[in-house]
This record gives sequence, structure tokens and C-alpha cells, in this order.
Amino acid sequence: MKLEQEELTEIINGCKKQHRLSQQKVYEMFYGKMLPVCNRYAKNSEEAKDILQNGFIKVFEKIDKYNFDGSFGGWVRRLIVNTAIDHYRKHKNVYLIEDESRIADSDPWYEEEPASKYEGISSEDIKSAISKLSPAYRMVFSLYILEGYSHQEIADELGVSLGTSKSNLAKAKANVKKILMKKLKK
Amino acid sequence: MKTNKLDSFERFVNDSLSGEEVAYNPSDWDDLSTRLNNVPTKPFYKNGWFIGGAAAVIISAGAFVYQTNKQKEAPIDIVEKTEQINFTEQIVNSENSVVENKSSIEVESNNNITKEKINTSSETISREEIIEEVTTNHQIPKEPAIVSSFTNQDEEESRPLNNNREETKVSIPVADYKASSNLIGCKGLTVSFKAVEQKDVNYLWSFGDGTYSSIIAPKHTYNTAGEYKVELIVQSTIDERILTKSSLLQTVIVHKDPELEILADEYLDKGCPMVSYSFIGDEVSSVYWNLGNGTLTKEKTVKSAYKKRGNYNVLLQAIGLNGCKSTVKKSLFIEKDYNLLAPSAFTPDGDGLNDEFIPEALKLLNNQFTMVIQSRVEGTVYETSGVDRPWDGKNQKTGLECPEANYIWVVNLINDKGEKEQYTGAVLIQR
Repeated sequence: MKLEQEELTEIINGCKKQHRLSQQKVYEMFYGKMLPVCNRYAKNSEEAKDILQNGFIKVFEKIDKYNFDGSFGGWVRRLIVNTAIDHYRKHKNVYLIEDESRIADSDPWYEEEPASKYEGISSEDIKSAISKLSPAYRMVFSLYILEGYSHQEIADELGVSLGTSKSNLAKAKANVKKILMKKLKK
Repeated sequence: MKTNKLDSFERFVNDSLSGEEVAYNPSDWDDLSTRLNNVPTKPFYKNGWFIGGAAAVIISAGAFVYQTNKQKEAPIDIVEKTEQINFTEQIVNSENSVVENKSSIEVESNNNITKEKINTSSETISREEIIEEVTTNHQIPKEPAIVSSFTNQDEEESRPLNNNREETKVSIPVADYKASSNLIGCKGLTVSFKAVEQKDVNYLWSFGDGTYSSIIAPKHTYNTAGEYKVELIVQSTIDERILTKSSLLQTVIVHKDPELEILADEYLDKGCPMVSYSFIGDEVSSVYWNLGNGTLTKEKTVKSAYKKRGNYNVLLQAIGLNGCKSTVKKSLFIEKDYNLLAPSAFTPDGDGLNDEFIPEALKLLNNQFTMVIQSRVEGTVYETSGVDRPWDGKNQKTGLECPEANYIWVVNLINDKGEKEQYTGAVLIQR
């Protein structure tokens, strides 16, 4: 759905007044983009929908705080991702023992590889590989690579050390690569 | 949003997924809209199942009536007058009307009534036994068995059912049943039911989960968590229009198994592959881990070393607060043996590079150890118990340089837990 800026502004203002129809339009507008985002943080589509719904409830609750400064889509996305992080934190009753001795930079998979190596890998393959990661790995992987969170931000959000964020990313990448390589060999 | 400097793989993933979009699903909005309206949503079994169950019963009851209809070719007003939804209720209500009708028969019998009169109020059904005299010529018994103590409060519209010119004696079926005592349990709960045994009836059980039975004493296994009401309908085979529905429904409760997910984080502890485990699971009271490497534990979080290359199956069993059990499995692959990170060769030629041999991990571990170097020809050539005294490639006894060859090293150490460990490997001298 492509909208003129004015129209969007009107819809957002409608949302600020908690107009249900405006909310529906916003939901419709961002559903297609945001559900895949949620999928990257959820273990199944049910959980993803849950995150999406909670995320939109948050969007509609906080829409008063949106002051048209910066892209609305980016603002929505940030709230949705925050919801995913909350969801993860809520469902993770035990914090993992941290380990900082793993220095990600020395890991061999940190080397730059030719992009052509992954020719023949579809986005479906990648999605499926991400879904196979453990929640801790998946969080770091998606936040870092897809959302552009820095390791420091991830560490703060997830309550882990910087080293854990780095090493989890490295491990998560290694696992995704392993799964993708297996796929390529088939 | 800050952008990280992504490597080629990360860029590839990002590029592949960034444009992703799925089709809009309007029904999802309905769900959200409901939540925005602040309507508290109930668990599925609080509304959905019951309606479903009731509907199923109604349909089956409807089927009975339909059959009856066909056989007797007599119009049955129940079906025509009432919406299906209300039908089961009608059955219950009919019990009330029964009594009323019975008493009216009594009265009428005293007055020596005619056929026509009977027809207007001939729904002669009592809870236990009725005697219906429909022919004018027959004498209606003076003392019909009145067994029910129901009083009729609702004004029932009269529903003439029977117009047969023959004597029928129909027992009203009893829809009481017993259930085995274990009505609460986990998935796989089997409950036995038994209806009151009686002649000339069909039984129809609805177990509440969409399954049915028609035997007198069925056993049913529940494989999905939920709350189920068990309903019994008993139908007279003599007059198939006479149905009784159980009034007291037993409720079977099947608890959820705990949802479990193993979280495994692999890392190296001083070069040794370690995995730290935890799990995601709500309302778990106790857990039992089998880490696949011989470690069994009941700790909630646990870490363990994996020193041998290979596949490991990690099992986690959890018992929920409700007593139900789940087991999940995760497989783990360890890529190489851990052998104290010992190099496989060294060059004791005095150039300052790799002149000495000691397994690297010993430097990190700070554990008490002894290392013995053995040559195939000379036997033990070197012994040490300090990382500051690595093997310099010489025979300790003679002081002579050992020839270029493979040597066996054996390390015995006491680990942090005070246990003895032995490691052994080969090292090649090259000059």
C-alpha cells in the first residue's frame, strides 16, 4: 500500500485519537513488512503473530510519542523489534552463564568470503536456517545483521556481556553457514 | 538505527531478507481489533469446545429424530418448531412436561377420556416408567406409576408425539453414568465410563473432544490438553424419539505438558569445548538432564565439557508443576578431540621458535600435573611437573638430544574438581 505523506499524516493523527479505522490502516500498511521481521525472532509463526500483535498494541499505545520526526516505518519497526526483545527476555527464565574467553575475532568464520560462495541459496533457505538457531543465537544474529544493532546495544538489551554478544553472533553465523552449506551440497 | 560494518556473509543475509514482505491477512486484524477492544480472551476450552461439543450432540440428536421421522412417518413437532440449537434443551425440558402430562392423564383417566382428548396431551413420558394407553377401548390404569418428583414450572407448549393405536410400554432411559476416578491427568489420560445398564436403549457418548462412542462402558484416551465435559445420551430403541441426556456432566481435565526448549551455548574454556545448557519452559518444577557425555544432573542450568569428537544427544526431561512430563532432545556435534591443545610437532634447534614442547592447555589450567615423554627406543626420556620446565627435546638422563622421531606424551593431572584425568598424544621432533 503506497500512500501520500499527507494521507499518512492523517492516518497517524487518527491513530493518536485511537480511531480504530486508522489503526487498521496502519496495521494493514505494515503487516506485510513487519510479520517477516517478527518471524526472525520467533520460533514459529504463532509466536511471530503474537509478537506482531503485542508490537502493534505498543505502537497504538505509544503513538502519541511519535512526533513525525524520522520515518514512521522505522519507528514502528523499532517498537516491533523491542517487543521481540521483551518477548525473548520474558520467556527466558534463566540467564546463560557468560563466557568471555571466546574471542570472536580469531574465529575462522570471520574471514571475508567471496559472496559467490552462497549462490543458489534462497531467502527461504536463510529463513529456515535462522529458525533452527537457539533463541539466544537467533536474537543476536537478527539484531546485529538485520536490525543493525551494535554489540554494545545487544549486550545492553539482552543483559549479556559484550563478549557473549560477539561470540554468540560468531556461533550463530557458523551454524547458519553450516546449514546453508549442507543445503548447497544437496 | 546504527549500521554495522557487515562482512560479505552478513551482507548476503541482510540483502536476502531485507525486502521480504508477506501478503496481508485481514483475519489477523480481527484478532488484534478484539484485543484493542479490551475484550478479555478466554482459553479455547472455556468457549470453543463446549459449543463444538454441544453442536455435535445436537447434530446426533437431530439424526435420531430424523430416523424416527422416517420410520414412523409421523410428523414430529419438536424438530419443526424448534431451532436446532435449542434441541438438547428441549430434551431436558421434556422431562418436565412429562410429569405434567402424566398427572393430566391421571385426571383424565378418572374421567374416562376419549381418544381425542388424549391426543391433545399425549406426551406421556415419565422419568422411569410410563404406561401409555392410547386406544379408546383400553382402560387406563387407575394407579399409574408416578415416579418423578419434578414439578413443572415452565409452561410447555403441548407437543403431541404419539398417535399409535397400539399399546406400548416404553421405559424412559436413564442417562446417568459413572466415570473412573482419574478425571484429571496428563496427555494420554484414559478414563473409563459406564452408563446405567438398561434394556432396549442405544447409548451415545460425547467425550467432549469431538469423539463419540455407542457402547455401554467405553474407555477413552485424551491426547490433547483441555477441559472436556462428557455427555451421555440414551435413546430408547422401542420409541426412538425418547431420549434422555445426562444432566450431570463429568469434566475431564487434561493438563498441558510443559513446553520445553533446550538452550545450548557452545564455548571454549581454555581451549576445551564446553556447552552451557539452560532451558525455556514455564511452570517447570524439576528437570533431569542427560548430556550425552555421561553427565546426568538435576540442576536447572548446567555446563559440561565435551572432549571427544562426535555427535552427542542431549536429553532434557521436565516435570511441570501440574505433574505432566515432557522430554526434548537436542543433538550436538563436537568437531574435534580436545587434547590439552598439544602441538603435534616442535623444533628444538635453538632458533627461539618452537624449541620446547608442552601442551598449551597446561599453561592455562594451573592444575597440578606430571608429563612423561616416552621414546619407542629409549623408554621414558623426560619427566616434568611444571609448565616452566617444558621438554627441550633432550633425554633427561643422558643430556643428549633425542633423534628426529615421534614421541608419546602422557599427562596426568588433577582437575578443578579434584578428579584425576589422563591425556596422551604423539609429538614429532623436527630439527
